[in-house]
Amino acid sequence: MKKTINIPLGSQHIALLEPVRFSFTCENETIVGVEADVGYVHRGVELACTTTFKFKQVGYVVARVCGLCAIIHSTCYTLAAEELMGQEVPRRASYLRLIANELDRIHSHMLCLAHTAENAGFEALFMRTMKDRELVMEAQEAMTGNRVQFDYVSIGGVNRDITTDIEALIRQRLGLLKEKVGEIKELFENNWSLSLKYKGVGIITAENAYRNSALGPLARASGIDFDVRNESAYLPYGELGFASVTMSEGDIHARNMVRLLEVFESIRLIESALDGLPEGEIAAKVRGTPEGESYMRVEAPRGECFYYLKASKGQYLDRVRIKTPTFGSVPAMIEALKGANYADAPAIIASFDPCLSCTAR
Amino acid sequence: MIVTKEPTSMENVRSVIEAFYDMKQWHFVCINGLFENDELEIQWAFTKIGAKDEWKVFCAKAPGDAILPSLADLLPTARMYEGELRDLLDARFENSRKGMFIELDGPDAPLRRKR
Repeated sequence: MKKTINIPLGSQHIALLEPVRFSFTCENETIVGVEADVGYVHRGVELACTTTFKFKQVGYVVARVCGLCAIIHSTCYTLAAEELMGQEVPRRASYLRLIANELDRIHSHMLCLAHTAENAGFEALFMRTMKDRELVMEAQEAMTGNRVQFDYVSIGGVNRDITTDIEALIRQRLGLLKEKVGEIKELFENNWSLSLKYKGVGIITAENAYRNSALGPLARASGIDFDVRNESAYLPYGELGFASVTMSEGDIHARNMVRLLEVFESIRLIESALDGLPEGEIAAKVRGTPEGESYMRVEAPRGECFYYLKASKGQYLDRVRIKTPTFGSVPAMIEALKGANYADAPAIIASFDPCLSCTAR
Repeated sequence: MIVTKEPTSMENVRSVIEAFYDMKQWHFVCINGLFENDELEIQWAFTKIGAKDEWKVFCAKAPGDAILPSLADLLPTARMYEGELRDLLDARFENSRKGMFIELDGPDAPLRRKR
């Protein structure tokens, strides 16, 4: 006989990195209904960006939306503001922005992979992935001056150049990381207990992914070749021959593999960008104030990050609208959880790599 | 970048988007809201899949206290954006409830505030 019970997960739970609350309706062990509450860390960022801070400061405010993808937020805002100002950006700065964005993607993907390993009870792989992640954190610190809240991108360019010593350090760390990630990939691909835990679990079909406007690695693991790096010319990805990664299974395993393969692609992009790094200035003189409406999106580690700006030539913006990938992925997450075994819920949630600081802002 | 803005009315927005939206051709980005001169402007933003930076934005205006049409059955993610705008802008979409994004005892419609 079926017995229906309601089980809460969160808002504080050992399987969750950030506060979010799920309420599962279960028939025996099977999840049949899900409700999600995502608003635990709302900080009023959009209001602050139009009332407290001037447009030149806002890039540094939005970097505080999220510790993991700070550079993505400041890049997206800056590109939107530059469009409204008709601001030119030196080619060297565009390449440096691309390198910083890809370093950010690598460290975010590695955190997610470590977390999913932890959720499978594979503590050793969790610790190893976090240890190897330090390589990219060191490269990031050398390049931007900080490990997490780096204020690297600014209107007109970037705030720091890289020296030949820093370039050598980035290349050395990425060379080591490539080897380490190769070993981690081998484990995710072939370890029996990880396969048992992840293959065929938390499936999002391509049809479901389309219907729920799925984004990022989630969509690409379901066979949808959708990546803003292909769909927009916001940074010189086209010049470096960016190739997106897709898989078709749509399960936790496929999402992990997409992230792992994307780490290799990010390393290749950074190495190509360093090889072809243009000479010249890192920032152009900023002139004028923003006017009009701008729609801008960039590819964050979790998918499409969108900024809308409205300005009328003043120092303060009229409206800043931020849409983050996790917020848009909640309906797809709910679909993946329905029909799953309750015991798999933490691993399914972790495989979406949810970022609640971004979501609630 | 090509941004095509298509003004419509709140009464017609549902049928206009229903006729336009093909989920394999267009990606639904988000719903955006603005509050100016005691009036709400709601924007539904889409991008063309496979095209570089091609946007289609439907926009409609309504008085600040109007009941707005929900597109959650057509665009499942719309439910999230409608709930968010309900809390931040007091945009009253059909079937939306307060408290999804800001706690019920939190500030009321903070984005309606002026500097």
